[in-house]
Amino acid sequence: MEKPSENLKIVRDDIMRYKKNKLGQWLCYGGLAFGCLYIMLLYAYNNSTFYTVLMGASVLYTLVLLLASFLCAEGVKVYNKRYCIVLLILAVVEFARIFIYPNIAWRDQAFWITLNKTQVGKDYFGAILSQPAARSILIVYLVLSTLFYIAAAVYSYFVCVRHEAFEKRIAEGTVDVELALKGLEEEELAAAAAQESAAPAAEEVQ
Amino acid sequence: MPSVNIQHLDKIYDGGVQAVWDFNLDIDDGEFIVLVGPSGCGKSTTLRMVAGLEDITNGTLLIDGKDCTRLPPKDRDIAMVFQNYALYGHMTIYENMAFSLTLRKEKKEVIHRKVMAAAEILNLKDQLNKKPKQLSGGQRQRVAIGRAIVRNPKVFLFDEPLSNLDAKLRGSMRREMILLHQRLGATMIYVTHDQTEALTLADRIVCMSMGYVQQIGKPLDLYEHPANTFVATFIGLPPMNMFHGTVKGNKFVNELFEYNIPQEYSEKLANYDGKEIILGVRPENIVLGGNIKLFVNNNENLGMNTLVHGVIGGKQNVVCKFARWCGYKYGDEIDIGFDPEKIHFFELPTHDESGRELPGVTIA
Repeated sequence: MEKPSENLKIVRDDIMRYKKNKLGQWLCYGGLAFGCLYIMLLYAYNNSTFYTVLMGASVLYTLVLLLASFLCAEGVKVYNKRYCIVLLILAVVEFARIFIYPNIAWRDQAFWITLNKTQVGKDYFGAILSQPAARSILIVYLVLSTLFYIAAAVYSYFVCVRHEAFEKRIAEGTVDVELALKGLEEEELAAAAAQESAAPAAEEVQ
Repeated sequence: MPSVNIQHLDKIYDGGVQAVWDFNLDIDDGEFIVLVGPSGCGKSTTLRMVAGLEDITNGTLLIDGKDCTRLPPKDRDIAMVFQNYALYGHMTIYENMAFSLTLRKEKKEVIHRKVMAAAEILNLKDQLNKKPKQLSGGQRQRVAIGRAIVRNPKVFLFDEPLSNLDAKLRGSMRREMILLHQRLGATMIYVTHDQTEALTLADRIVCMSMGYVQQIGKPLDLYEHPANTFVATFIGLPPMNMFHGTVKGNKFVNELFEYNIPQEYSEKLANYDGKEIILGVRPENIVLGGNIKLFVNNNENLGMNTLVHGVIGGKQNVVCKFARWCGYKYGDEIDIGFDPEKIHFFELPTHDESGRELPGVTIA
């Protein structure tokens, strides 16, 4: 792949000044979405006595998670580096949840005693889900949520740093965007001319 | 080859109402055409037909030699700027300007270059991260124009773009439009009901009334040589004064006054001896010191000039425009006359078979 020219790099950096970090934002929302799916399935299976005790804490945490995720999404959207750290914390917490519930509950079969002993599974999006399947899906949701938060944090961090550095260069006057735009236009024209001249040559070869 | 070629364009709506009748126009490359006329005259309908937003009932539309009569708007390579800006409120100015190019899946660097170039032209660089609601009316309209510029279309269409702005802003935007046209050198079709915009912006004006083209010409042509009474009264502010009277020998005789027809008009009026015609005089071509008595109703000092509204013989309302500060009061009587080199003679309005009134044609 051809290495981008200095002008192209400058223009790409300049674009960041007018476009939001949408990818970072949507990665956050991805983490949030899988967190929500986890919560929905978890509450649908809320028939363990252990979890009933922790229900209040779970609801509170869920609310904090939703709020923090949303704030982080908005923060990274406008290239605020601090929110990347919050996103990493959220990732750690989401990952840690795997070991609290459903894993603790799984180890202690008492937590999975259903209120209705005859019930072997629950309807989940039209399918009858057994408890081991539910556990696996809960783990997958948490892992995906964690991965999305990590991806959002890492990607946004690099983008924020790049954005910050470019803003600094602009403030210092060490970069001329207009010159770069002009340079890029010339490069594009030159490339188009080269392509045009190459086309007949290729035809001749054929 | 003309940039836009419009031949025998008609627009008939489903109910049978005909909004545009036999519209013909050749627009040269880089020309600034203004369609002007009162509300309901068909100017916006014509523009919308060129844009592809209205179906063309009859006729042909060629853009750069290509028949676009039945082409959808996206394939016509035109860009339209609307009166109400039509900006996306949830997008920033940058995103608004880049939107059409994003839809075309252009490279983001190319989009950036075009948006920055348009922003530079329109002095919008500092506003690119704002939302439309944070901008003034003039700035919003500039964004709407910018959105058209980035597409680099063959033809720009403007549908009363300055009508939502206040008078002062309209003045400055008018000047910006002129500069923009000079800078881009693009073909532009501009619709307005404001004759000041038409006179200041246009290379050529198309004056319309009741769906018909009344006159096509350079602004000064329309002003100095109107084709009929409609153009004579529509172009110019205040409108031309019109006096009905009869030609008797070398005199124009009215029940209120008699006017000696200047020698240069005699030949053209020879066939009208004994017939009723209309004498038209622009307010600025009325001079002090003639033999017509004007009873002053109102004196409007506008700074550089004064509009004097009055009545001749208690019947005929007249507006005079004097290039100085006047101090007339209600009830004053002044003697006025007409600049013999700047008068116009028209035939009386007629009616066609359908009963539609046709404006009186210019005699001289």
